Amino acid sequence: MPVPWILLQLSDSALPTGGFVHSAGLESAFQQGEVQGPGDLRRFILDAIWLAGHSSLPLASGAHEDPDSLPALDARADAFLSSEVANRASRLQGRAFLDACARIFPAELSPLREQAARLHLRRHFAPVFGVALRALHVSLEETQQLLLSLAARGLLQAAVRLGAAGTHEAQRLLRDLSGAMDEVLASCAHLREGDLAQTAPLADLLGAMHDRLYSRLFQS
Amino acid sequence: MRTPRLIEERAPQGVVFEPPAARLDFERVGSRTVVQSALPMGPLRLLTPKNHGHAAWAYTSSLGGGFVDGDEVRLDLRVGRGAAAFVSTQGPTRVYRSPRGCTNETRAEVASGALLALVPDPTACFAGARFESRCEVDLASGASLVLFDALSAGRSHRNERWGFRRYSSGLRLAMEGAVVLDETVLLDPEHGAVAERLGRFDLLATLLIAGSPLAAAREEISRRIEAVPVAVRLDLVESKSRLAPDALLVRIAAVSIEKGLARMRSHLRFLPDLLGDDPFSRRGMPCT
Repeated sequence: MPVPWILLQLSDSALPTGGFVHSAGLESAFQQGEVQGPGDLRRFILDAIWLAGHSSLPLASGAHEDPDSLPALDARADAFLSSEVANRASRLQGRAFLDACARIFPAELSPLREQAARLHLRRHFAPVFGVALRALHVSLEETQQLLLSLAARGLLQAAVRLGAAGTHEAQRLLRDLSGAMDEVLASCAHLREGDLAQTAPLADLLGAMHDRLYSRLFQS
Repeated sequence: MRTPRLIEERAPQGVVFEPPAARLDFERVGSRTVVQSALPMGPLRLLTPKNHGHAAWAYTSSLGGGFVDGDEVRLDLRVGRGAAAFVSTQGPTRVYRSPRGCTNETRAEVASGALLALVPDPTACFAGARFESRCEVDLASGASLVLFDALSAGRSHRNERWGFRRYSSGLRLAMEGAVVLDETVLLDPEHGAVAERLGRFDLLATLLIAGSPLAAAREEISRRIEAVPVAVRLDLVESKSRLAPDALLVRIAAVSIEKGLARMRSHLRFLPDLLGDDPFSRRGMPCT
C-alpha cells in the first residue's frame, strides 16, 4: 500500500492555509460564558463536528464527485451560511486554502484558482476543498475524513489559544472524539447538497455575534 | 377533512404526493387590501378578522388545536401588487407525539410594492414529536417581507424541555428571483441531546426583514441590537446578519418565551404604521 504522503501534508498544521485565525464561534461562546469547563468544551466541539457533517461535508462530497458543480455549490454555500460571520469565515478560508494550494501544487491547482477567479466565485471553503482534493487525487472517503479532522483540530487549536484547554488536554480530547467522528462519518458521508442542515443554531447565533466582542483574537 | 394517508401510500413509486394546499389571496382594492380568497384545506382553518387599518389580516388555526401524527399542512399565500397582509396563528403551534411525522409547508409570493408580515406564534414540539416545516418566499421588486419564526422548548413543566424526536425548519427567500437565503435548521437527538445543545435557552427565533421599502426599519433594528454590549450569560442574545443589501436576518435566543416575544415586538414597532392598525395590541400586547 502506498504511503499517503499527500494526506499527511494536507493535514499538517504547517500548511499555510490561514485556518488558525478562525475559531468557528468558540471565542464568542467562550467570552459569553456559554463554554466554561471541559464538559462544555467537549459538547461545543461535538456539536461542531456534527455540524461539519451536515454543512461542510455535503458540499465537499458533492464538489469532489462532480467538479463542474463548483459554481452551483459555491452559490448554495453562500445562501446556506446565513450568519455573516460564518459566511465570511468560509469565504476567507476557501480563498486562503486555494491560494496556498495553488502555490504549493501549481500543476494540479493553478487551473482551479484561475477558474474560480474568472467565474467570480465566492470560493466557500467546503466546495473548494472537495474540488481541490479531487484534483490532488485524494479519494472521496479520505477527503471526508480529512475535512472532519481539520474541523475538530482547528477548534481545539483555537481552544488552546483562548486558554479554554491546555495543549495536552486538547490532544486528549481530540483522541476521545475519534469515536464520535466515526459516527458522524457513518451518518453523514452520503449526505449531499439537498441535505444541508444547521444542527447547532445556538452556537451559530453566538458565533454571529463575534464582531461585537469588545476584544478578540480570532476573525470568527 | 384529514389528509388522506391511503392515497399517499398507493402513490406510484417515484411520484411525490403533495396534499392540496390551503390558499390565501390578498388583493389591493382602492386604498385597502381585501382577502380575495381564503380556502382552508385539511386540518388548516383560516380566519380573516376585520381591523381598523388598510391591511388585511388572516389567522390560521389547526383542527384539534395542533399537529397530530401524519398531518400534512400546506398553505399558499399570494399578496397582490401594492397589497399589505398580516398573517399569524391563533395561538402557539403545538406538535404532538408523531412517530410518522408532521409537515408544514408555506409558500408565499409577494408582488411589487406589496407587504407580507408572516408572524406566527412560536411552535412547541412536545415529547416524541417529529416536525418538518418549510417556508419559501418569493419577493418581487419593491416587495417587503417581515417574517418571524420561533421554536420554544415545549412543555417544560412536564419535563419535556426540548424533548421532541426531530425538528427541522427550512427557510428560503428569493428576491427578484435571486436566492439570498436557503437554510434548514435541524435538531435531532441523534446528534447529541438537544437540551444540552440549546443550553439555558427556552426560545430560539428568527426574524427576517427584507425588501427595499423596509430600509429604515432594518437600520433601526441594527442600531437596537448594536446598542446592547455583548456580556456574560445574558437572558437574551441576538445576532444580525445582512443577507443582501435589502435583507436582514436576526436570530434571537431567550431564556423565556416572554422575553423573546417582547424583543420581537420591540423590533416590529414599525409594523403597525405599515398596516394602519396594531395586531399585537389585540392580545393585550402592544407593539412597543
